[in-house]
Amino acid sequence: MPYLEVAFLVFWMEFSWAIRMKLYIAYIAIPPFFYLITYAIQHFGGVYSPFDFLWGAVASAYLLTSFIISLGFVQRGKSFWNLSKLAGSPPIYIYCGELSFSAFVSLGQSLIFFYLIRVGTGVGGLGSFILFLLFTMIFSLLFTSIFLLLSRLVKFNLAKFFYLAIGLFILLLIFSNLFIPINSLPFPIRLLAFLNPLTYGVSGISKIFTPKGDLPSLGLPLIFGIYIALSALSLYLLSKQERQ
Amino acid sequence: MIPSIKELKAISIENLSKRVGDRHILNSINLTLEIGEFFGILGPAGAGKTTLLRILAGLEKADAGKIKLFGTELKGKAHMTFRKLGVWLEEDVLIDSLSLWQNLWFFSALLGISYKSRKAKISNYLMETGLWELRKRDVATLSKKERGLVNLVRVLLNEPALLILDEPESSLDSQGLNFLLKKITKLRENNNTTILWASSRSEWFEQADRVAIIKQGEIIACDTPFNLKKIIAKEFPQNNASFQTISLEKVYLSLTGEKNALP
Repeated sequence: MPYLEVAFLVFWMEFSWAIRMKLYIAYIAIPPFFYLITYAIQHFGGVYSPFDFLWGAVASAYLLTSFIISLGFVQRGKSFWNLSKLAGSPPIYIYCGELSFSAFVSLGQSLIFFYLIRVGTGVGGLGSFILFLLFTMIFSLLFTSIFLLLSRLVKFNLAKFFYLAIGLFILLLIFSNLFIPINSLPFPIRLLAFLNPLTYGVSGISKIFTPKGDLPSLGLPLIFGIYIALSALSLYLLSKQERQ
Repeated sequence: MIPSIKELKAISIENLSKRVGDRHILNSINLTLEIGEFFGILGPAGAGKTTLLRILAGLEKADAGKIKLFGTELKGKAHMTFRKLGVWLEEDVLIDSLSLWQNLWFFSALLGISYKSRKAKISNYLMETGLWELRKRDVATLSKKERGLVNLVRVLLNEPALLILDEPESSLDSQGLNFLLKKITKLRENNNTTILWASSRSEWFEQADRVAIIKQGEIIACDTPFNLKKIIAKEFPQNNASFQTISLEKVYLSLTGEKNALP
């Protein structure tokens, strides 16, 4: 199937670009960096437990990685996009290549994060490990596709994308349960947090490792389902991008 | 109803219009190209040539009108039709972070060229154009003329049924242009390829089957080069010597209202 080869070639190009530009250093450094932040807060904050910010930090790390990957795509995306249109190739396969690269990076980061969490907090077994890998891959797919949709909206204009994506990034962080449990948020912000997909990501990651977690009424399978549905919707919207 | 082979046109454009604000970029363009025809579009900068070609290539949407390529109407996803095209527009679509070979390989994959024949095709073209030694170099390090040749190879890879060229002469040197003209002749003979070439210079169109002169989004004349020259020749006594001195350039300058177009 020739189109699958297109997806593989895009994946391979992103992979080569990451090696060549040494972006892999950033991808590898992000998990320990975010983990150290939570360690510092817990150590110097005194009143905080290791789990207070850990799951939010993990989710933020994947969000940041998705942003970096889509930023790179926007830099090169117009060429991919125009080439694929000129060649009559459905652009969805370009996106599939991009998303598979994002999932690949998240896999690597998950291995690092799981090791740090296991060593630092003692939680997590084989079941948690597998669930964590799956969930973070879907998490990365979802948020990378959201950023890719944004890049199409601004027609691969790098400056516009950067400012809009940074704004979206900050809004996602603020209106979520990243720093404060959702039930402690003021009502208007709580409402926005319920609409924020990042909230379910933080909750999902916490439920994988600890029996408690934010949003107690939502079980892990439901959160998985929400993420898979949102990812499928994003993929559908990406595929609907017409030639123009 | 499926058109018969005789009725099938390479390009069929009906009442094509495009506006940007108050300005009509294209104004009710009607055009038909036969299969195998070498068709030139001649016009000054800003006449609408590039916009017309971008709409045909699917990179822009028209505001009104209908376009058919090989009998298939252009709307939304028409991927298989676009795979018959070789399109070279002003914008450079090469991926700077990849090598010359990787760019062509990627594009071949996008075009659906089979894996087995891809290597041979790319290698042959690189050797013919003298780019073989540069195949591992990053495209970002190539000169403008070398990039032009790479784009030329890119559009010829799939031996297109329709070749759309937007001022390729600005990216090629004389060697590259000779190669392009030779390939055009070969493609027309072997594949019945239709050529649509837009330019603001007329020297390439003396051998064209027809030439359309476009000004401010409207086609003001469309005919064979010989008949276009006859329009202007009426200014001169009807003798061979005078008629033969009329170039398409003079026809074009005269019809687009340039001063001192004629001696």
